[in-house]
Amino acid sequence: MREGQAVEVFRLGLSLSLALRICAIANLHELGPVETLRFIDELTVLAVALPGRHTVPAKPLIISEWRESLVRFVQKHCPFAAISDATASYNCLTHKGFRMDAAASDTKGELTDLIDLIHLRKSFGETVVLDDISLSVSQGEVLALIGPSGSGKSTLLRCINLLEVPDSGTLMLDGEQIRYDFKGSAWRTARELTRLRASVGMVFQNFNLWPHKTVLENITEAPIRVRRTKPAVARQHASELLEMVGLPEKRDSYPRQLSGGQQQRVAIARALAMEPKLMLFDEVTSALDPELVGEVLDIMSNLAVSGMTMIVVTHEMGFARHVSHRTAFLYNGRIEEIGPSPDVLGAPGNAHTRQFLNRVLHHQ
Amino acid sequence: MANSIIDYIYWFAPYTVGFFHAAVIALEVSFLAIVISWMIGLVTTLGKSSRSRFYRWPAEFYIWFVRGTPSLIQIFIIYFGIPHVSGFRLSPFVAGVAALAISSGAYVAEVFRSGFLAIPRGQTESALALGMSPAMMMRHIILPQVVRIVVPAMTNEAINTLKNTSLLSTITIIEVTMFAQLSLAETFRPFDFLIAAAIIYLIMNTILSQFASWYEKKYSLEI
Repeated sequence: MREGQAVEVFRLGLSLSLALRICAIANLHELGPVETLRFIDELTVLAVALPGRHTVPAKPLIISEWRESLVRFVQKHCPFAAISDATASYNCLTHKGFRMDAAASDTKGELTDLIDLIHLRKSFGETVVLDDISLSVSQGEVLALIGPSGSGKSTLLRCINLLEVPDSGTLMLDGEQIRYDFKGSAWRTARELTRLRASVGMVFQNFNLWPHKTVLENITEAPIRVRRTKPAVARQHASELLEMVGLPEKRDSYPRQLSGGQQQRVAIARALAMEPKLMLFDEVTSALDPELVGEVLDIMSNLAVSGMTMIVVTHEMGFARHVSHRTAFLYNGRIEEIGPSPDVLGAPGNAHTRQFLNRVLHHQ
Repeated sequence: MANSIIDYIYWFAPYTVGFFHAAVIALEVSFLAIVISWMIGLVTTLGKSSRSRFYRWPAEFYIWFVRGTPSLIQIFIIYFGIPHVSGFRLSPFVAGVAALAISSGAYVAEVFRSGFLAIPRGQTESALALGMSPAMMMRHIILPQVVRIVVPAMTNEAINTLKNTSLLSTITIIEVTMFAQLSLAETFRPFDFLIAAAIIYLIMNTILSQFASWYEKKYSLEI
């Protein structure tokens, strides 16, 4: 698909920006027939979830027609014969938007993308910090971000939950849920930012626990205020989380009474209390004494095993190798190498990666 | 000797009631002025920290003007100046409260600002990252910490305001200083009444600073 054809999608009743994006994403990921179909289905779901944003009619009947015309469009312009067969068993389930049975069976066992970053760019003044980052993380995947300091790892993480707002690009979280396009500053409202951040947990290098609240209050504060959870329920959940991070007896302590490792474990529990879809870890062991690093990494490993989707900026190569599924190497704001962790860390193909790993591993 | 002390007490006793009323007036005025100055200060410091010039410039002008002029002049402007220009006359009590609140608000704003600057950036970020709205974050995470940080400086400012009530003797409010002056003019015994006034100020300020240090200890962020 070429971008010029986007105009035709527009004629079929889509907005031009959405059509352009379909083309961009299909190009980017070099989608095959099944994948393209799945992508269109995801788009349909998204369109239902966000009526009005892309001038999509909100009625199910019209939406299925809309989808048909989109498939026909793709069929016409892409040499995919298989699409028409898969289309036959297209079903609408009214429970939570729409679910596509055909597409689901075709892609069974395959992980679905939880977060997509597409052509993300960010610069501070003249300095380009993120230079055209495109990245997908699947549901349940653990991605390690490594790279020299100043390579943009932290900024990338902070862009994902919008503590920094990218200059341009697209950020999709859980497809149907939240999608942002960064073009200037037109779309941003505080409420939208808040909505996204609530579903992405973040743990910081310096813990950032609130010193005037007890451990329990630190954990229950956001669920009670943001999610409007009943205090009793929130406290119960917080106790379970404290159990999980091995600090049940510290619930009434203040952060200053805890060691760094304990504080960081509370910070992890605090982020988990919001039941995030995605957890971001920003060099969470860098500020800890060496003997306290292990207890925090253990919690993170358990979390990874339990199926949490995680993006981890880390200098702990052991953690990257053994816990993360994939590792991405950032250098000067670009992803220079990305792949399964054993490959990237064991046999790096990129000269910069080799150089970086040499330096880090020799130091350790 | 014992007789003379008893005589002295008999002689002074009638004035204690007057001093008591004067002290109550001083407390009323300063309490209202202090509370209002906190509100003025908070709004001003938020204005001054704003990115928009629309909010920042008025706040900066207010601080610049109020810090740069004596409180006494400000009191005169509000009590004598404004009625002269507008014909709208404030009662001495209202004018006194307003003048003290305005003249203290500028300092309170700067105290608050130093408190906000002392909060690490990470506190804001962790609150935002958990999905709190800026207003929620300000109310539940940032302000409680700021309040704890600014207690000592704010106590200073409150004590200042309490002592500045003596300036209100110039606009016919019968507070402690005014009462002492009236009494000494009547009896020609300056020493007794000025010492008595000083003692009353001391008592009020001692109670105030004791309360502040109790509060500070109770809500301390350190151990």
